[in-house]
Amino acid sequence: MRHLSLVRANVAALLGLALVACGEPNWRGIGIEPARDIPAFRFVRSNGDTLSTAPQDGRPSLVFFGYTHCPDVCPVTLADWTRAKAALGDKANRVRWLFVSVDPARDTPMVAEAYAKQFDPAFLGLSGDSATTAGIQQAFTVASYETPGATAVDYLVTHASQSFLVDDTGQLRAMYSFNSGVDAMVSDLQRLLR
Amino acid sequence: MSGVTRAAQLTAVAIGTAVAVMVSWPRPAVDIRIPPGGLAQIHKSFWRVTALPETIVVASGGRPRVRISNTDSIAHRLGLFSAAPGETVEYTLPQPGTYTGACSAHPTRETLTFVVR
Repeated sequence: MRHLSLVRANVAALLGLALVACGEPNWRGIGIEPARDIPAFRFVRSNGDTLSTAPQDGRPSLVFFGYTHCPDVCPVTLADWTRAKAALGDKANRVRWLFVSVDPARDTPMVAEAYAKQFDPAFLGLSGDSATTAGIQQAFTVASYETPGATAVDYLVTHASQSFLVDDTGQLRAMYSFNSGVDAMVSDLQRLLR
Repeated sequence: MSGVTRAAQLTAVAIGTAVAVMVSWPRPAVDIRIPPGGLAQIHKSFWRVTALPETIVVASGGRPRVRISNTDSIAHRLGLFSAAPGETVEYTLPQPGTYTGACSAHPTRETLTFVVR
């Protein structure tokens, strides 16, 4: 009889372990576990104001690293964002859509802002000084480097191509690979916007 | 005698439970470890270790996870994934596809591709 109780206890323990193991959130994008703490960064905008990426209650962020001279990945990604924003409807107003330039030498704050706004007025184009750019890239553990072009100012920049989802507590939760569609992004944002 | 039998039964149950936990405990589909020096290795079951290939094929059963443990002193990027110094992080791959990117923890220092089937 005691033997039977012990077996039952073991089975219960195993079921408990299984439940714990299955308890992690299922993101539609590429989930990141444990979520990574992203520190706040401050960017000076073209009008002289400062924008902080510090978390805001109820407002998740979608973050992408690119540059305005990008011939392919950046325009496609920001076009995907416009589709995602449209799919979210009114809820999209609570999302912070952050396009962060990895080419501050050519992308002044004004240039980055104008570029992002071409796709949607709600998209925030940000360009910081080299220390801020390096710091935020380090926080997301992404890199970028220049590839020489025909002239000194005609270079390309190789950069990360994924979009990152940061929740309203500043935790990096998931990411979306380039050109993977917007369904996963929309689904995960809807979950955070409930 | 019955005491010995009971002890044997308890031992058998304990061993059975330990084996069941060991076998059923969720493991990542790919376990990549980056030791100091920065050359990544793949750790497989039964303590097998292989060098990092240029392409890693992952079966898409369930939601496969890629675990990266970085004990090197600098951040590393492995294709789409990355790990800060001292960080162990798991990426859950939701759907089949090909994920390619630059690799800083590979002997050739070029690219790394994950193919999820």
